[in-house]
Amino acid sequence: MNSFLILEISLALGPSTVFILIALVAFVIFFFAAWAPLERGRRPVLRPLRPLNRLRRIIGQSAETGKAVHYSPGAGGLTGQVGTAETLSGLTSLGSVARVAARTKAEMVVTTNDTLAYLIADDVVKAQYTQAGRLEDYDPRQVRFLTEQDRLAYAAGMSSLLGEKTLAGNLMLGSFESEYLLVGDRANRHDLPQVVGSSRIEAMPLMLASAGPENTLLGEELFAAPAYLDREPAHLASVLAQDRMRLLILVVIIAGTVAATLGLVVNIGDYFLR
Amino acid sequence: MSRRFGLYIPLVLIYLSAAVVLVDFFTDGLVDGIGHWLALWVSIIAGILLLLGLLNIVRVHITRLTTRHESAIYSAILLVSLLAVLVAGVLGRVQQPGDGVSNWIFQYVYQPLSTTLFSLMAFLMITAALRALRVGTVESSLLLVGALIVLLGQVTISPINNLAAISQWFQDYPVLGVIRGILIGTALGAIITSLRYLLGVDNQYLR
Repeated sequence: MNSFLILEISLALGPSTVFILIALVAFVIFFFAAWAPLERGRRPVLRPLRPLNRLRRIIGQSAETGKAVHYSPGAGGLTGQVGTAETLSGLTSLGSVARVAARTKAEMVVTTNDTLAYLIADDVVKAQYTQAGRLEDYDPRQVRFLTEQDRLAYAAGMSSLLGEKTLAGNLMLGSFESEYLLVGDRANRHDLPQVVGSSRIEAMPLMLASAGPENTLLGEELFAAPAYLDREPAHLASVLAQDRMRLLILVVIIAGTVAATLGLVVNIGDYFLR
Repeated sequence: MSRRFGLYIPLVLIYLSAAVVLVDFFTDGLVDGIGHWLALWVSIIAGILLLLGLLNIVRVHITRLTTRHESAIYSAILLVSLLAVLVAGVLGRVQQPGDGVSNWIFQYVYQPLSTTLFSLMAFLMITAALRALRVGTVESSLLLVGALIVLLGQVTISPINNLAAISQWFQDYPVLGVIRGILIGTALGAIITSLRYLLGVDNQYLR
């Protein structure tokens, strides 16, 4: 009976699935191996990310001037659409931004393009105000549901918000595509400082051109933002695990290239494709 | 104590769901189809939650009307449109199965508006390019030079005959290499972010 069960399970593990499983296990090992020393107080040196320094300044300016900061966790959704991981990362960064905002008495307006993202954003902001002991200052209207999975309409809504309200800055960290330009252009017209980030190839050049390289988080920097913002051990461990995994991938790529060139393996690409 | 216990229940549910989905992905014959089933649940829950989003929109815009916000007129238009589409959708579905009224609104109001908005993008790109040129940083200058070469390479009558080949070379080698590098980094970031949520480490919404 046992051997039958093992046979059944092993049949489900094709070459690509085996690779995914190995990668996942390696990631979990790297993550926990990096987490343990961090919990004991060790802190790694992170390369400076200029956009995040600017983000802190924008929140500081908001606290000083009394003007609100606009934050968007991206136009992606959480129900299997493109950009789920970016939206999750955007929501984690929202927690860090809301924490600073709640402590420094800076105002925030959060907009979302997805019902689930809206509810989580609302919970995250409320939790940070509660932890800062300022629950009485939390206003449910500061987290707004603008649209449901409509990137253009969402961008139009954000653009309208930036145009009509006196804001201290515009923060957009999540899944954005070319629709970002509608918002970026409005922010530029109103001389609004902005920090933006996306891992979508469609958005990166537009963000660099519109917001400038010093205000743009590119690709994986978006996922590293929470570690930089609140320096919690778990977030720092994930950055370290990412680096170690990247090294492992580099070794695999080089070894695979050498092995394929020498004819030791054939169709090596099948192991990396689903 | 009870509050702490209340926090553990969602965490246990997260662990269980994550474990079931992972086992479903990697095995055959143990928990087949449960991952798909859970994803379906999420879609159904998200559909119901849409009502909460709708309430938020109504609340925000009614506040703007009652406080005589400078853009109150737009809030009034939004609320009237929202009500009109809602009523048209319900009545249209009751009267005929094809929901002709909603389709009409979508085809003749929403789509033209959406297309118009998207067509603005071409002009905004030029504005952004000019802005980048004015800033004059090394990165933005490189970006513009690259864009110019690729654009001129697409034009039939090119000032330099070999520009199409140069443009293609740019896209096939440096650009593709960079894109793959970015994609690997992004994929690693996406995996580790998902892992943090699956392990219940990122649980700010529970605090």
